[in-house]
Amino acid sequence: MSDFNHPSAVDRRTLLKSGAAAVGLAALGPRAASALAASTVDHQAGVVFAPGLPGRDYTPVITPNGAALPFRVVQGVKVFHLVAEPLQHEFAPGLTAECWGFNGRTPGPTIEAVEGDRVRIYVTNRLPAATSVHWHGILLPSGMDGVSGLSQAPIPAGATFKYEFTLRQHGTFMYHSHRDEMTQQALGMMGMFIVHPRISARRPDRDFVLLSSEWKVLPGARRPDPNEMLEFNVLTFNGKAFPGTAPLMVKQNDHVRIRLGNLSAMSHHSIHIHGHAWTLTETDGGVIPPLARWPEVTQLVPVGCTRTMEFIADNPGDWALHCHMSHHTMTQMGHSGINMLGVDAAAVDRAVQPILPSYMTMGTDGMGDMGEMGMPVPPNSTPMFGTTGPYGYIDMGGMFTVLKVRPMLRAGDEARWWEPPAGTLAQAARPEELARDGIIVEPSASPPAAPHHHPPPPTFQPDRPK
Amino acid sequence: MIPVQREEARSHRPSGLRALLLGAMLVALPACGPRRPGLATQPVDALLVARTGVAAPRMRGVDSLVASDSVRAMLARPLTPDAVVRVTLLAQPRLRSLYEEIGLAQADVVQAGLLSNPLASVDRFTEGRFQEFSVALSFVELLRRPLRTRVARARLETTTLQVADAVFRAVTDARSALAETVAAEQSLDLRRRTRQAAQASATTAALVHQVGNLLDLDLASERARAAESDAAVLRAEGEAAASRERLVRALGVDVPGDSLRLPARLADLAGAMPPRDSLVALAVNSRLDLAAALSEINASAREVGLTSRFRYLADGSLAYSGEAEGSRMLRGPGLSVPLPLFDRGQARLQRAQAALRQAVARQEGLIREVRSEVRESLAQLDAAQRRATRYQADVLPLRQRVTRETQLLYNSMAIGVFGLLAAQQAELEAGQGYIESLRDYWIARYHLEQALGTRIP
Ligand SMILES: [Cu+2]
Repeated sequence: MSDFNHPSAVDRRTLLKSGAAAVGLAALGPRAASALAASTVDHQAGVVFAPGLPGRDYTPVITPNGAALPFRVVQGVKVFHLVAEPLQHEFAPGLTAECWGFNGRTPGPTIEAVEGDRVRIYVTNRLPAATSVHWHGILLPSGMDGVSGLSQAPIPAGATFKYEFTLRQHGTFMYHSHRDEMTQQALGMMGMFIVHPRISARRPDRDFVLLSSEWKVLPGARRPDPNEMLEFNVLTFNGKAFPGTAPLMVKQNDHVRIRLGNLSAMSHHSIHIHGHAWTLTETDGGVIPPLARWPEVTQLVPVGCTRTMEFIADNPGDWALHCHMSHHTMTQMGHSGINMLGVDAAAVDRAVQPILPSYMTMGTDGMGDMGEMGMPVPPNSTPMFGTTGPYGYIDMGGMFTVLKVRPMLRAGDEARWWEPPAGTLAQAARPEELARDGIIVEPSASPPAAPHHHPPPPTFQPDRPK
Repeated sequence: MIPVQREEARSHRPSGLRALLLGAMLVALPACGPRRPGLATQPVDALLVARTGVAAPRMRGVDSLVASDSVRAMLARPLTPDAVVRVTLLAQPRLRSLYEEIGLAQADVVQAGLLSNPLASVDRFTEGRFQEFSVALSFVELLRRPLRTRVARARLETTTLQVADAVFRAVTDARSALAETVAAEQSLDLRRRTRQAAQASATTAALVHQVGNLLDLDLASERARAAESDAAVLRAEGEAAASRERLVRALGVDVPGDSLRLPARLADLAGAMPPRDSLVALAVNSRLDLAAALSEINASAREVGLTSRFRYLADGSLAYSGEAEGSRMLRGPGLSVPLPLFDRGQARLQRAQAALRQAVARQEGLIREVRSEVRESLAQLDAAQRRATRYQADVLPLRQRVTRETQLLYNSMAIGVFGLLAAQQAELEAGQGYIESLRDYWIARYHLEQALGTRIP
């Protein structure tokens, strides 16, 4: 797709017009930005552009399930305030944990600014531990880089530090704790930092931000385990696991941008879009020259990277958008236990139920129905996946969300399912269709699978502890 | 009591000495009339009722048919601790043998009241007739008789107390045997349920293995566990059968152990204990062996009195004798006593005094043992009670909770069926621990009762 070719040449006069409002500041960054950094203006030492304003200078991003960090302009500088603090966070209905984040949420609110802005970000530490914030991918003076101990002293509990720098690039960046990263990121100390170009040939109609992260929360536990290295069981977009993820609402033929960030501890994610092909237009290092862009349907987002995808949403419907690693579209459950596939469930029930009346054999024909069985599960835990869709159970969880493309966007569409026009829905084949097309279905040699999940015996008591 | 005149008293022609002899015999007779030797067991019954809380009619002889009926009736129902006492008292031949100790002591009392028979002799049969005759009666025995009787009575009291002590121990042992047997049955039941869970696990493992989802190793492990649990059942079966036979012996009945009917479970923990010092005081007042030891001191002291009074006069008799003098028979009274020249009774006295000192020392030792036994039993009881309480209040509910939580995790497919069955087995194992602690509690309680010599108030 060549629709998303970024303006490769900058109109010098446009730049100067915007730059006329620049104010001089004493704090200087290094004069030359990295050669690869995306830049639409000429950054000269000490030159700060007039603060970019939403609507006028950029179309604000949408952070599903998230928020934008408010700012005020003080003497030409955008002033933000992040408060690092413990909080209660709901990953999905029924699963809440004691997390750490910013301004009452994880991920923290999305910071949005415009190339050339001077930003001053106060960070107040209300955590029980020291912290610091690293502005991931942003080119700035070394002392503002936020690496505790290396770039700066840690921010002690109760203290407020001030970060201040001029944005000399545009793109999709992140921020996260850089003090005791293993603990603080595992608990949710992260957020997105979007820098819009000062000059933009074409702004997207919808500009989404999805930050991936992964957590270990044992079923029934209340706090993510920072010691986990491998067995993460809660995988999230913007801190939410499906069905907790809010859908991405798009009008048909919108120019859509989706900025993917990944601050998982250990996992890369293959983010896959249905019904559309998208183009990788930017990485966190900058804009990809149009000829080098890569159209595809699945984009790998490695740990610590951002990938910016663009497409025209020309295909109406309800489209899955998810990580393609299958264990990343499950939630807490079903990650261990015995492989019961193919086992004679009735025989196992006969052996075990005399001892444990509320036992029933599961998984002998797979796990697709597990989420909807409604078996009692530990408190503060969520089934491995799923919610009810228009055609039955959607057995997906974790990093799964829905892109809803509609000819018209109406209020309440978030909760409405796509109604496919006639002839556009897969259905059971009718005999005359089979006959017409010469499809011969041999009758099965073995009887159809026995009712896989045996109803619990009549004495079954969902013995959820008080 | 009707004195029976004796043949030897109606001897020869009356004279002064004859009258004297006759009088002496008449004095002696009332105490020595023969009577049917019924066992004086009422004192034992009285001592036991207070100590066991069970009034048990005991029957012997023709009553034994009635007794065996009532034993049969009691065996037909699940045995309670009180029924165990009654059955033991009615049926236990060892107790009947013990009671005969009283019979022996009673016979000693009777014997002590009897005089040696007068010695009559006729000598020198020549010329168609006996040329001499004599009748002699020990007058020393006559004098010693009241004291000797008192000594025998004291010994009877000692024996009665000793018998009551042994009977109390026997019925308490029987109660203890009941607790052990019930515990063994409950353990067996738990072992069987554990086996069922282990076998379910092994069956499941075989089914999962059969479709290619399980390591040979895991299948072998599950099978090993199931076989081990079966071995544990076999061991528990042996223990249950053996404990039933121990109960049979404690009861003294003549039925096979597997015919005994038992309560379904051990009784719950009983109430709180009185303070230790009051229990020690209670034991000193209640222990029958202690009372027997005191009674033995009393008997020994009387023995010393008797020995010392008749120290120099070990024997001596009055006689009436005659001798033919031609056609006349010369006759007249006589007296014989041993002269205390060599044996002046010092050895007998020494022996009686040693026996008294021995009895005193025994009693003194026993009282110390009693106090310590009470403290020991109380310590064991207290530990068993706290252990059983810990199981009841914490271990069992927590193990049940573990199973419930495991079930929830199983429902979440966070663990497999084997983990679930393992949790169930751990719960049954905890039940095993509880039964053992409750059994130890009851056994400790019966130990304490034996240490106290009576029921725990
Ligand atoms: Cu993934």
